[in-house]
Amino acid sequence: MPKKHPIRITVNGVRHSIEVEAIERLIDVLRNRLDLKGTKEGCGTGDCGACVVIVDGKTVPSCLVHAATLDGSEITTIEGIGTPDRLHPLQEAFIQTGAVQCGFCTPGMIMSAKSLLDSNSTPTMEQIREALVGNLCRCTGYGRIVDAVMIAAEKMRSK
Amino acid sequence: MKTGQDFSTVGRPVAREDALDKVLGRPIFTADLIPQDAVYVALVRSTRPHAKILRINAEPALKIKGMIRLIGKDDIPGVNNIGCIIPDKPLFSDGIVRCFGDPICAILAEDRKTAEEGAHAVEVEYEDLPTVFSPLEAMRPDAIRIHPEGNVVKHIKIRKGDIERGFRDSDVIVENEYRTQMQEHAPIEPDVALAMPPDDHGIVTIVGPWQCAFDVQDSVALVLGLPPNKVRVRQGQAGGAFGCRSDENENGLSALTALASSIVRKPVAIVMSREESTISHAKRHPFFMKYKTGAKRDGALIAEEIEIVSDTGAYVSWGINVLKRATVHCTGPYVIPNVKADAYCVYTNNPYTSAFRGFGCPQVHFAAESQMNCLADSLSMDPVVLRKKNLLRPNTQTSTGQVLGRSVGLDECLTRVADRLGSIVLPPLEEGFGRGVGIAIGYHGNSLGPEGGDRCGATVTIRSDGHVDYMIGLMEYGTGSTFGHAQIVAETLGMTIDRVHVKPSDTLVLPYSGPTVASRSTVMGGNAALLVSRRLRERISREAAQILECSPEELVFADNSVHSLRDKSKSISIQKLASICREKGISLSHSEIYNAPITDWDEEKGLGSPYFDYTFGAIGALVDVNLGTGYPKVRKIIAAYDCGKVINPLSATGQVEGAVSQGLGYAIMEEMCTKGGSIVNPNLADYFVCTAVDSPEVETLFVEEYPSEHGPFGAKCIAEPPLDIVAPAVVQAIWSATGVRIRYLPATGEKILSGIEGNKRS
Amino acid sequence: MAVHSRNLAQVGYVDRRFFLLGSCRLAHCPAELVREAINTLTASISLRLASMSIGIFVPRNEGELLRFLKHEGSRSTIVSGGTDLLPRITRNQEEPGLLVDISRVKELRYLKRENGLVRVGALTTIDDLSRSVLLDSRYEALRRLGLIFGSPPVRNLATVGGNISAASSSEDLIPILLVLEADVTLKSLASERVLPLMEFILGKRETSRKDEEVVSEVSFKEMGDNSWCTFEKIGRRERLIIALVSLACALRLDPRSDEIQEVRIALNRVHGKVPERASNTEQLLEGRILDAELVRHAASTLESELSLTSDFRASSSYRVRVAKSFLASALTHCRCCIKTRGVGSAA
Repeated sequence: MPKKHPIRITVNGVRHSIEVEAIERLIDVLRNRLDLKGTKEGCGTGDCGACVVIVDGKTVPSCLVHAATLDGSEITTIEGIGTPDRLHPLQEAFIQTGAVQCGFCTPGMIMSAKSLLDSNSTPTMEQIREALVGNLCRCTGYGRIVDAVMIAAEKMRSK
Repeated sequence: MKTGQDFSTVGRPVAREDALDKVLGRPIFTADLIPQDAVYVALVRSTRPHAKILRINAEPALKIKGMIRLIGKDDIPGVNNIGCIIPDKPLFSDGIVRCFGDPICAILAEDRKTAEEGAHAVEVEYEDLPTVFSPLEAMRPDAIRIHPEGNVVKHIKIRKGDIERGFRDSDVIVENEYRTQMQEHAPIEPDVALAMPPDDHGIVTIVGPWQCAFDVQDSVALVLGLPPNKVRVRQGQAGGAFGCRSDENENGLSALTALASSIVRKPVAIVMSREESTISHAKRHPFFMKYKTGAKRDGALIAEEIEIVSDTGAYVSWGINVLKRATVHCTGPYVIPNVKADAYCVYTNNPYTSAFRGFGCPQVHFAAESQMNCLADSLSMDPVVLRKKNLLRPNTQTSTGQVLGRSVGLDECLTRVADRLGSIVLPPLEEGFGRGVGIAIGYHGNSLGPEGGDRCGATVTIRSDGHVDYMIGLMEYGTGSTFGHAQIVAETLGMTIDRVHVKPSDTLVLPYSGPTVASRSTVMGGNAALLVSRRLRERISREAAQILECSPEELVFADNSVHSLRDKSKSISIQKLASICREKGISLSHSEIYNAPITDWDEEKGLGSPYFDYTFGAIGALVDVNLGTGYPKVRKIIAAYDCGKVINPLSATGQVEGAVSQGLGYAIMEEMCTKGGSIVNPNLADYFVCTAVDSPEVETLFVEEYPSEHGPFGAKCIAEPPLDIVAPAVVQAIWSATGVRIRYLPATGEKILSGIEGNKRS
Repeated sequence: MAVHSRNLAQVGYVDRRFFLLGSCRLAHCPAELVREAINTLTASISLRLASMSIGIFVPRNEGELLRFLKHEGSRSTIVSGGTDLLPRITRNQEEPGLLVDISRVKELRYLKRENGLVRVGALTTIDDLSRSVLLDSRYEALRRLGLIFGSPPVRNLATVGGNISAASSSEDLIPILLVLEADVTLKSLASERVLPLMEFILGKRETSRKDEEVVSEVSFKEMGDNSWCTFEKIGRRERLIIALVSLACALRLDPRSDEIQEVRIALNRVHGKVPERASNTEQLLEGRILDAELVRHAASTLESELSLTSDFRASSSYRVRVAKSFLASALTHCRCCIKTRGVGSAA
């Protein structure tokens, strides 16, 4: 029987006490234990960005983090940044500009964008592209996504 | 019928309904839907490129804790075949493996990890057979046969005019060879499938990111030995497709999970890693092309002779259809009186190739447009001027002898791109760099054309709450096309778009709509949507006219209600009208099939009118090349497209930008490399797709002045065409910057630098 | 035997059986041992045992870590950011028995300047390093990592210690630290030792770290006045690339005479499979006046110094030509920057 490691994590503001196996990654905990399916696995090797979430204020590829190391950490996923009635400005902007096609890269993309806007409220187009460089999108060509982030930034500034 | 500015939703940049679920991260993709009690299946794949299977020993796998059983070809109740056109591809190997990764059998286990470990542990004894990896070699009569019928699966021709005389009449002849690489779709979602065991009615359900639900249904039915109505195919939201989920890949994964599920009577899932997913699905056909082009001194094209060899890998899949489309378009969009083309679809022991956005057009446009640029150079003519002299216009004849109608906006597209390129101001050129500009034009036949069987059914229903349900068998995998249909339905029934809903894809309830390929969704699906909405509208109009005491011709459908044109106060809401109809026994649902206009194609001569419409376009590229490393940096892309009436500018622009991004990858960075038939870079670290920093700013212009006679509201397809011509535009820009002409894609820094240094020496 | 187990290098994933030999490195195992292992394993109860026995220990501080390493160092694998190890586990290229994840050992995460030394704790992330206010514009190479090393989420995880321990030509930090003449501090419960980075790296994926040791710090002398350090790499796209060629250059130059006082050059590959200094080229350059003629000469010397291999990504001749181009632009760029702003400044 593989040894279990107890961790206490806060995910989207909710505290969880769970026991994880050594081999479990953060993405496994999110998807399989906490039933938060928004975070996607596109490659498992940190190359595509579909699994990006925010841990203790910084974006990380959740496929590259062992859950057992996260005791005490605060995690934010796509499910935690907005609700259908109160969408995050990024979520609204993504819908409005046509930045969402198949939607598989969208959660990771939004988390990376959110992290950028949390630390830089007036990004340039170039800075947006650099911030999103780790999130691959095969559908959109990124143009609408960059526009969406600009629009969201403006909205957030005017609030 | 309304036109132009009168439209309330068609032609407007309406945000898509399905975007909400996606930005919220709701569990709509197949891997999100796997139930807790599912078991997992993993494939045992060939590690040889061509071999006889002598023995399979599953003992080491079955000993592993958590194993359930082996599944092999003896477990198949029906037919062991999943081939799309030719039945050459078994679900499980028939005793011979023909490429690396060829599925041999499968292991079923309690969880994914165990299933994969089990699959690795199965021992297979092979007897190697001779191999052939070059389609040129495979064409030789003495080559090893990969399938009994021989390696040349198909020979497609064009014989127009008199080619010998054409070259005799030419003042200048340009001859070149071109090669294009194997491109991988790289959808961000790896392959996945889920099957539910037969229910009380014996219906087995499969969920997956499919493009062609009905093909899957037929294929699974064949393998399981069931009538198709006992196979229910539902679509989980697809995380990209671009063709990789439209062939034996979707057939095979569905049949595999459905078979396993029927055997163990539990939900069965397969979830692949990125590496395995890459090996599992097909790729774009590498083409080997020889072009000989003859023209007069004034630039008029007289003759073109083309030879194409396409590497279809171990199984033909859609290879024949890819080659058909490629051959029809092989000269590019020009008027040429004498054309001789010979295209060969050839088996090799390479991984199998099949459908990929563009479907043969990217390859031939690269060659055809590069030829035009070489010709312009030989004639000392401006490439734009040369093109204007020869390009297709309304009522001109294509290379297959088709006389086009009025919906030909190619000249306008070229003009707009050329003008825009001339006015762009870029940052100053850095030292050690060369800057260049290139343009390419192209055309793309709409829908299935010579592949045949082009029809599309849809159903529209007014619900009791006054909203409208729209059902179509075409899949939504990110393009937004079915939302475009909803706009068409809304426009026709006078509904606001928020009250028209596209139902999830489910063969249990959907009408047959054919495959979601060939950019046919807006045109065929849109026409189906238009047809059924109009019929329903006619039917309820009769009732509405009675209620409002006016004639049906006076009725205006708008704002979710119907009113009389002459007296606006005479109005009734759609909801109320529907309720009355219901009480009177008038059906509020209509289902009908739209059949594509008749096309013709004489295979022997390669002549005819194979497509009822063509989309035309032009792309311009601005590229800076680092002269020390050869690295090409694409600064800007301008795209102008004639796709008739644009149903939704937001979606259409998204399709152009996405196609350009993939086309750019095709041009300079994407290459699936094989060594001895084995893919060397089946991952996203060594296979390069454009990142947000690689993708340049793309300006998209739509030329809507040449609407189609056939498409809904005059629409034509848009999803594939832009991908066709990015490569020749970029390669021309590289030539313009450095004098280096790349003939083998991708145009990497290494090839460019070699060219630069080669030029220096000579 | 006719049985052919899966040749994974070809299919793209690796047969676990080869790696169940625990800490024994396959490269050093004689063929008989490998065959024996396969036979044993074929007959073994369960392949799953290996993955079931993967354990993880997460020390909360340096003391816990060092005590653990003293007893379990020989059968455990250190992981800090996970950006190198976890992909290898997912690709079945590695299946360690016991992991010790040190990402929580806060004592190892620092960046300070003291006594003319820049001292970087091993757990400093690439993001921390590239943005550090303690490193002024002269350390352009390190700042540049903030753009071209991986991607933002990867930079948030990848650590300095992890990068140098991976010891391969794909690790961008190594050529840069080589030209900064960095030292590596290795700590164990019993002792602490410091050795040059060049001696720390023995070969591809091989370092001189002993089982009970952990890389605790990387340090280098502060760059003097009139110095500059630059880094460039190339792949087939702008970002997210494993370098085909990467080159780091540290230059100290007299801005009036253009005399090269000190120059150090390192590439991702020179002769072997790990980053190295291009010492012949350095020797040629040192003490000479940096002009166009010298740059050409240096490029030529670099060419003769390099012994590179071809693979499906690029040919050796391309890599050599790019290296030459990088050298020329690095020297020119450093000189230009030194002349305009090369005086050392406090952050």
